[in-house]
Amino acid sequence: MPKVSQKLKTSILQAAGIMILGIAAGILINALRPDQLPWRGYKMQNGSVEEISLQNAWNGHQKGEVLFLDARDSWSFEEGHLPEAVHCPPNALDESFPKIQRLLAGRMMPVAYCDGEGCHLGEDLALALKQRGMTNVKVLSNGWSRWMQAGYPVERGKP
Amino acid sequence: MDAGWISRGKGKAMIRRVLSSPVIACVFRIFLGAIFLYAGLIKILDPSGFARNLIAYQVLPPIFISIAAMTLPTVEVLTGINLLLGVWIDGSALLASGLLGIFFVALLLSLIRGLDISCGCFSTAPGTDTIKWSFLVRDILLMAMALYVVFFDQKYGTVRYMIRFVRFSRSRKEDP
Repeated sequence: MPKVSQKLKTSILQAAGIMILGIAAGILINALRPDQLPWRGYKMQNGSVEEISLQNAWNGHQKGEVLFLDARDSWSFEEGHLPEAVHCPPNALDESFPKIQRLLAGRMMPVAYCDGEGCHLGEDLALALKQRGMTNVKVLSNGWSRWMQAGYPVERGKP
Repeated sequence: MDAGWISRGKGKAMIRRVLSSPVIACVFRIFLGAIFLYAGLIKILDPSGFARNLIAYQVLPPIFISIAAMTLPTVEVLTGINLLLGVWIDGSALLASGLLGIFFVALLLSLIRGLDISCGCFSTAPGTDTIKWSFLVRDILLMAMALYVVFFDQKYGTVRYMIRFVRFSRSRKEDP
């Protein structure tokens, strides 16, 4: 038995050593990188946006009152997107903003969406639009998956 | 019930031989090392993507998200490098099994709660790699490998082993 406990002791000490080194390296790398994470509680963005229910989004779309904005990558967009959606990832908003404004024509409500509970690109996009003065923007959270599950029609093709 | 041509004693001996083979532990170690190195590097490349994954799990309180997203990937990478090179094998394999245990709990909790989230295991892109029950099996298998390395590794195929091997064969050549 003493042999086993000695082995265990060394293992735990080594594991602790690796952890301390790893944590130190992680903090150092974070300090050096340009896109570093903030120390205090990671937040997506400041502010919040209202969500729209799937039912209301569908109804609004049928009445032609809703313009969907797809915040996902272009590959996912080509594979399939909500009807008449505009491809608009948040980091390329500068290019797509005039187009969105034109399409909205002051009448339609922009609804941003992404895919998956973990994807916050929809929220990011909506917040960015809000900061540019589109106060009626809404988010359809986990939009793509839920839209598909509901069996509503989708479109395919390039932006 | 004996299998006829193979006696029970022989079978046992064979199993013992296979289990105690230094090659198995070496293969497991290198496999785990490569996996940890890869998984860690992917996350180091996209820290905010990984932070989002962590938030989606809803396990960690918000103040710990940043520090976990900063440090977990480098711990993974270091563990992977140690396993690959065969340095501090016992400790790194123990740490690997501990990490896999934590991942198991996080996965299990999320699956029970029915969260539809990305695993964040080998990719930080949202919407990919959505968690499934089969991921638990994968996790358990990796953990079993790590524990096997902790208990049965015989330092075969480590860097130190190879250096010693090269030196030994050289000295035999020079001094026949």
